[in-house]
Amino acid sequence: MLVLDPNGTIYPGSDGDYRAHGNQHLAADMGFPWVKFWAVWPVIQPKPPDQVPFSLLGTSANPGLRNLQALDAQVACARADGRKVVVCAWQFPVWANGTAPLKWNTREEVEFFPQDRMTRAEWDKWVASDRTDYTVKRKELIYRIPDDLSPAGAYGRWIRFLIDRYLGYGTNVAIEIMNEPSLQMWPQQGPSATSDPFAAGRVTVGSKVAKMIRTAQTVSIAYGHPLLLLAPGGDDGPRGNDPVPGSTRQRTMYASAVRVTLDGLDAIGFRAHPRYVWSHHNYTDLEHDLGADTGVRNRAAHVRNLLVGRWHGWPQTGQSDAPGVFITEGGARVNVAGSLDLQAQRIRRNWERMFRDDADGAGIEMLAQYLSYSAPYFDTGVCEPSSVGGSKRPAYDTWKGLPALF
Amino acid sequence: MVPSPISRRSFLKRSGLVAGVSLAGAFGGGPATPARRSHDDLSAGRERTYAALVGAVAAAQGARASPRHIRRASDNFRSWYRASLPHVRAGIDAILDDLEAQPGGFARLDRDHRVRVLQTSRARSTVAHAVVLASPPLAFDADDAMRASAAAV
Repeated sequence: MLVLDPNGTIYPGSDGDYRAHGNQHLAADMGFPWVKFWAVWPVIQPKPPDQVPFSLLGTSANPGLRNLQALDAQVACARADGRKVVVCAWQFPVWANGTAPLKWNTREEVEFFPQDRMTRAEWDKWVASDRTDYTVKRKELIYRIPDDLSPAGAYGRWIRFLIDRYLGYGTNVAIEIMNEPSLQMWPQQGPSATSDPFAAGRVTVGSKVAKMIRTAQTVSIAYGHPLLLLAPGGDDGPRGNDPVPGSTRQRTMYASAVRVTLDGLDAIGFRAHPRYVWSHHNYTDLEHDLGADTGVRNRAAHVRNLLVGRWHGWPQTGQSDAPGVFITEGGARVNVAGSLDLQAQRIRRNWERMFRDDADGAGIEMLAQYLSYSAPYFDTGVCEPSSVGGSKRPAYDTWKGLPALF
Repeated sequence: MVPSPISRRSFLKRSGLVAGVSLAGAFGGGPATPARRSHDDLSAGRERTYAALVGAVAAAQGARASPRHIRRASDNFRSWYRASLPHVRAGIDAILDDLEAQPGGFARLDRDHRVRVLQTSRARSTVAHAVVLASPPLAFDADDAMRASAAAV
């Protein structure tokens, strides 16, 4: 699967847009059967439903109409090209997560749950600046998990909206209902058990993710499960701390995240429908060449092993002994891999591990390449940045030479 | 081509993206003077464009961006730029140059005009990547960086 930049929805016509900069040709030439686009919720629905109801999002009453139309057009274009599509629901509008009263780069904003949004070191830096340094690194407000994750809440209605909008494509379109919850979202943990607010608390992100997974399935039932659902799109970091745990207040180690999510699903008695696919990202596997053959545990394989006996979703029907996993993001950053040639090599080596039906590849049913054109802060593209002409890198030919099995 | 391999840890440490690194302290703060700029440095002109960009993106999002904030953000960016690989620097140069090539010269426009350029320019890739440049990614530890969000302006 070729995963395009979210800018394709936020800035239609940019190099993340399937219809622009030759992306259609690139996807076809490299032989990707799937493409992934982004339903950037705060951009598509900037106004709360009491101002612009969900039923009017497709009208001129919605300031985000142009972005929604751009997403629609890309989905339609990809389908016309014969490609299957993943639409990933990303971020939360501030009106949906209780942060609308806060203004960015104010003291009130920086000091809003700082223990869940920044490290203690960044907090100390903030204090040392007499609370004036607004460059302190912190999670954005649009990653706060809404309190109401029920089907009737804003998040549930957003997922309903996406299913309703794209159900005509059937299982040729999949809705990925969240992105990297254990890295991007906050809070990850409950309150500190000590007087120090930055100290560890109980990991809570798993129960929130579980509720989101259940809500999406509940919403989907009403339509007869017309589309594939994908979740949770978990990241596979951090690189260190192998084996688990290794979680902090700002992020949860990938394996811990899978476990607490499965625990959360068990706690609410959830059982996944056969069209519910577990999704995962595998940057660390690629960038650090992880696999049985290098003697370091492959994380995608580890995640899949954690699902055995606990996840009843796709492609199973009532069983849990052979779950499938879609890798819905992955890639090797050039600065991490070490060179353009090593970027290409890491892609091939990972593909060779994952394509097998046994060992590290067991149950891995999709691989992904994040970005056609490289981005300034995330250099995973198979082409150079479009700003300097977008020439093809060795990784392009690597993907082109691989069978289109995923 | 890319030179010798560089680890993610060393890259992030050099770039100042590791949470907790006091960037102003680590890199001296303040704009590089002409005498201090090396060929790896952001040029003075591109630094002015970047500073104008940070202010415009903040204004477009209704956020505060005092001169002190812009100076700090520019310091951080310059440090990250200096530590980046040559092909990354070339890409950034092109983005900032394209932005500056907008009618009137981006850095010479007043803030309202800059916001309008971001909102209306037909060079959507340039705008998209420029906005991302104004929002450096998070890095919670020495090993990983969370991608920057491309906020709408």
